[in-house]
Amino acid sequence: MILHKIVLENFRQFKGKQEIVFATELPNITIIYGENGRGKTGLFRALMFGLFDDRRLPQDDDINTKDINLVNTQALEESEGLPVIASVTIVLSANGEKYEVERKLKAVKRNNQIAEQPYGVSLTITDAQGNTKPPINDPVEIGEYIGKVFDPKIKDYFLFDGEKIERLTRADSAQKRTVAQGIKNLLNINDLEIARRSMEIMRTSLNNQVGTRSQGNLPKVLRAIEDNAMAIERNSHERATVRENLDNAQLQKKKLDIELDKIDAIKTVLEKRHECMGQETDIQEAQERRISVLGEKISLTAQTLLKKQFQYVYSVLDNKKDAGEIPVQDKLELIKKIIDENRCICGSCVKKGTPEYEAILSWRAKIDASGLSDEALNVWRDLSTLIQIMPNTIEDVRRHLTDYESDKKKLNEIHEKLKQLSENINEGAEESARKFNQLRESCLEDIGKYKNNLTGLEAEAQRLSSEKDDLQKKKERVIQEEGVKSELVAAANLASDTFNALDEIYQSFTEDMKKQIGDQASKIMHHLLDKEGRYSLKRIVVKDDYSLQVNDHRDEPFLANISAGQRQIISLCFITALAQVANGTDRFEIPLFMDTPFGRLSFEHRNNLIRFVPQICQQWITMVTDTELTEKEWDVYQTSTCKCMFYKLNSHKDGTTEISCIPIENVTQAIM
Amino acid sequence: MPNFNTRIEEKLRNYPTSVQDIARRAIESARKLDAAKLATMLEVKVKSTARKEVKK
Repeated sequence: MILHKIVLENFRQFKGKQEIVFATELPNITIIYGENGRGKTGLFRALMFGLFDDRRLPQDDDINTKDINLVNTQALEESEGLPVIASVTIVLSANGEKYEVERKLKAVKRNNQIAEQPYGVSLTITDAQGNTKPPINDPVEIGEYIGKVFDPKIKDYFLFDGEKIERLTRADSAQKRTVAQGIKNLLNINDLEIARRSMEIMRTSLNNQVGTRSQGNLPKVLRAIEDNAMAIERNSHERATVRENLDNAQLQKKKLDIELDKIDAIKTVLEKRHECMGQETDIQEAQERRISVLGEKISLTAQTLLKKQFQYVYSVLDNKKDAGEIPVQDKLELIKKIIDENRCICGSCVKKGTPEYEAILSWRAKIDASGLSDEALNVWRDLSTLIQIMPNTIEDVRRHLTDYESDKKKLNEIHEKLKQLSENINEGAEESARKFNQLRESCLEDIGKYKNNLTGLEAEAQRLSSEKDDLQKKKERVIQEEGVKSELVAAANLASDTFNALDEIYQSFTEDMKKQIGDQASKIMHHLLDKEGRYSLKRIVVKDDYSLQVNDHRDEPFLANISAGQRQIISLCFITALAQVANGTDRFEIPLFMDTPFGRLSFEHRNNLIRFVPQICQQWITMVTDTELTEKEWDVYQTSTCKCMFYKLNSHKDGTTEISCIPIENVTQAIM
Repeated sequence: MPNFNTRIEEKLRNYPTSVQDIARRAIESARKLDAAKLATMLEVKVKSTARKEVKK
């Protein structure tokens, strides 16, 4: 989508008819320059009103909608009680078609009260061949047309107030929801979620229908399948919640550690504590490795319980082997050969009916009756190996268990020492340190609790998954046994298979997208940050709950410590990456309309932004104040290869604003 | 969004044709309908596809 023009008539500060023609040639930038109060946000409001009929902006926060007047108050004063018509006309193009939308308001001022009401809307579409269709006047139909070229659900991500954008990087749950919603909207994840859920509903409904056709166990099995699916879903939510709580507690602990590090009085004690914690981590890791080794040896360990029985069977087989009773295969083959050829290996004749022949037959019967075939030899071989390695296994397990026990004691000592150190901090330090330390202890307790919960939930997830497989097999068996109508069963199976497919696609798609957005945002961040930021911040990560995290050069979470300017840059990186990933292209096709983007940024950040943003978006429209655009920034604009349109918002004597288009060669003079 | 369609299409190709058809239809209609209505709408399609599969 490309914005070509906006025409305002008696809208907010803009009296009479005024217009802005946007730069469209790639790469481009349209700068709207004005001091505070000149109507930059009014233009932003006009865009939102014209396109989406929005009367409120995200930054209006607590302002009552009826207190937001869109019609120019000076025009109302001059009309002496007569109605004034305000309008916003926007010309844009998308997919080869040109759209002109005009939205009007009628207002009247009586007894110092302004009453505004909608006064019609129209949309004219001209196709790629230049044919103009009859205007559309139905607001709902117009909304649908505009929604197709610019989804209203994602508008806040591309038309935004630069100073408010940094909110995307805040860690509170409302912001997490905002970020998650943005990602889901832009990447169509919502559609995937609905499709998946619909298959879940259908699977239940078809299973119920199958169940009603059965008199036997099938309804019970189907109910168990449904219960299992619900338990899996519940478990997945619970794991996500516990993971989030764990992350938050770890982040909180990190913050408290930073605060405690700042307090000189407890530095020595803290150093000791850090040392102890290092030892604690090393031992815990060694213990985990040991548990994993013991897990691998568990089957061998269990076999040692049968050591005596194994030795007995081995000695029996060994004796039989020594007595030549095993292996029997060779002997049987030899006997067969003697009988078939009627000749012994010594060369003498063994005819049927002779005592020799009878002796051979009785030998064969004896071997058959022993019941020992070649498998006995295999058992003998296996037992032989097992008996050899058994002492080593027992020794290994004993050693690991002794080490485990000894490290457990060491861990207890370390825990005791840590407790003591913590008490020392509480006793010896000033009030703030004591408070931080107590909060830290409580965080540690929570972390332990969440880790335990997570281990339990993960084990439960594994159990549920294997139960799911078992139930599926059971269902197939029962259906076959009960001979339930096959077409209905096939439909239920198809719904179930489609649900599983959509579920897998959903999981892998969201994982791919989070990774791709994180990687792309990190790449952009390195273009936009200043030298110091590039060193201290390594990458942006989109977490499981879609919240944003920024990792420092050690790849540890650092979001809590970054400046407001850096937050703004990171939010911008995120939005840009999101749009690029959604489009699958390096340049995203939605105009980036930014109100006061540079307020909190250093010159180096501004410089990077001016050079980089036009390269990645179709259109950049930026509204800047006199403090954001000085000669220094203008020099950067001029050295870039952008096609630039420059507008200045001038204040009029009556308090209204006049838009003037400034030729590029006169901009330096205009901003001085 | 172009990337969504391409990627989902890539992933769908790993499943049997009947599953692909139903899943594609569900995703396409998800923008206009809620999950319950979508399930009702697609049940006829699922049953007819299953019937054809059984008769094969």
